[in-house]
Amino acid sequence: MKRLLGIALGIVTSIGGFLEIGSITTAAQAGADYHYQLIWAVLLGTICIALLIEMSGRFAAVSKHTVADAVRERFGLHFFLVPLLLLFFVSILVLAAEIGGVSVAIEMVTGVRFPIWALPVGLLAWGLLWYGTFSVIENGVSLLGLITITFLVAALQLGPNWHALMAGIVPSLPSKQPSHYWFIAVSILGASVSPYLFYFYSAGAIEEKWDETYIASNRLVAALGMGFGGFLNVAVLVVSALVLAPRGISVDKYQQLPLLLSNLWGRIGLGLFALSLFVTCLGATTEIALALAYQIAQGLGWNWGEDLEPSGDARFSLTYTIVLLVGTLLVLTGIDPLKLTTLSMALTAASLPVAIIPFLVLMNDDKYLGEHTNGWLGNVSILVVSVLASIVAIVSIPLEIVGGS
Amino acid sequence: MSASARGMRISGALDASPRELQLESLLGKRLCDQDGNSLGRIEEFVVERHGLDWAVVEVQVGPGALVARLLEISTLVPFLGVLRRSIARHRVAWHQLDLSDEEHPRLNVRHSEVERIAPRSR
Amino acid sequence: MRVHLVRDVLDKQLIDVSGQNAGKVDGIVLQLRADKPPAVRYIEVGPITLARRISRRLGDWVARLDARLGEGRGVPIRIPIARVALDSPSLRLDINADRTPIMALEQWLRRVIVSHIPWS
Repeated sequence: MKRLLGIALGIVTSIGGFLEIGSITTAAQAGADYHYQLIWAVLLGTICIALLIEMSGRFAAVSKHTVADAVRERFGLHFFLVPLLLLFFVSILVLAAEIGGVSVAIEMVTGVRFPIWALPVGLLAWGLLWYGTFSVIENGVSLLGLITITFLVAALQLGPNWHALMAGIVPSLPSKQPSHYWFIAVSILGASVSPYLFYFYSAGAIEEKWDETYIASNRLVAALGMGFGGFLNVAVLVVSALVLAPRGISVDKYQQLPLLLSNLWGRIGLGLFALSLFVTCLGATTEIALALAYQIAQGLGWNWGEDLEPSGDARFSLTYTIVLLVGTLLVLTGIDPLKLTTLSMALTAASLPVAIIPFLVLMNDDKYLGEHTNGWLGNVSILVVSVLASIVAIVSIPLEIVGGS
Repeated sequence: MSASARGMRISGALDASPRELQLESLLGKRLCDQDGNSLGRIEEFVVERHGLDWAVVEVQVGPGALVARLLEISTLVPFLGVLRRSIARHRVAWHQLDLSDEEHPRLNVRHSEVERIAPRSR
Repeated sequence: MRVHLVRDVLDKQLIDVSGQNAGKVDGIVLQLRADKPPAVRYIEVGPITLARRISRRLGDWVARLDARLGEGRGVPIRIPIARVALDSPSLRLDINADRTPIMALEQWLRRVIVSHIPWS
């Protein structure tokens, strides 16, 4: 019974925790610029992250190692450090985008410019991590994230053309501006398939002391939780296609985002959007900060754990503190949150192979996983997607920058 | 010996004057024979434990960490794993090693006298 | 009993006698002996050894910083191999890491920073 409740909680928190500024923004841009044409990208990203999360949980449950710990142990210091540095750089940008997201949400409601909110937001996120426990953060904030179901409601209320929608499930060539199309496509992938997620997830599994008996429930949570989360992501795209595209609004200013819901529901819609953004980005902020601290602490062998008090793991706690500080400072510079978001999502896609390949090698090592290693299909599909995404990202990022976004 | 080489003992260790080596600085170094031909890079140290004595009985030499990692990636894709078996690795017994120069570990026998490790079958 | 040092010892997690994480095996010290195989004498743990693996100069710089932390510091932390037990998934130390310099940075941060933050 307790296990069933745990599964239900896992699914629900995965749904609530799925969206954040990256997925909202990229889906909104996709819907505004290309109607339903990029639904396949959202679905592909969802499937990939569901697979990776399942692998991450399985890895921790069977090997009793976190991913970061195992990468250092298996590949040695140098092959641990190089990916770490790259992922750190990209993740801090994503973190800054999320803190920016929370700040922008407050700006939408108060009218006060977002950089002013950066410090209070950073402090709030820090307070949650310093004084909270893993379950409070994981569950509490993610449950609040269920408010993003409003996007699904909005999409249904707007009544999309289901035939056209279904057509978007199949990849198709863009109707216009191909390099922009592919840029958004890889940004969508980068928003869903965030490497920090599987570092975070394996650490959580160890914190919750999973063992092999959790494999089946983990599979269920990954499939259903990520699956429904992906539907919410599609809902954002659909709403954008129905609200922004007909008005010729291309999402290039963050102030345009609330239109997704305010167009339908006026001030209430604005409030709902702001609340959704606030909660989901706050959740993502804490997750990324934790994930980066996990990577360092686990790779260097320190005490770590959100359930430990900071006095029990000072180095770990101060690491996430510093990480949050850097992210906050970046937002304070006033850098445009929308541009930062789309860029960091594309950079995430570009750096995917660096994070994923060592992870996949681990997933095939029977020393860690015994008989629970990956099947070749899982390996090949993830490998192909991440390498292709990376190549497309590397090509399209400069084109997008030059093209002026 | 400099202070940093002596290091800091935690408890009850003999302060011996015999030469000490850092294993990790030997890792990845090319192992050459007397004619200067490289056998490969030092990849592993195999130890036999007899009570408290951990004696390094053998050093394994192969293509080096980067190539080894790339080969591991190849095993993710079906059929490419065959590549692994084509890479030469060698087993060097401790008495075949000359570690007097830490920067340039050498074989004190010829290339051909070193045992080749049979490729793993998968 | 055969042990592979790189595969089974280097970069592996250490757990001390109280069950807390005591770092990873960052280095291994071998002793050359006349007419006998080299012997493993110590494992090394800590930022100095770690930095040295990246570059000699970085290691020396970290050592200088570490020396400022107190008396007898500034040198790599060594643990006799006899105190290490091979275990799974981590290696076990039969000493309490709190009594060694392994936890020095942790303890320093706790004292100097963490304890001054309200309600920690």
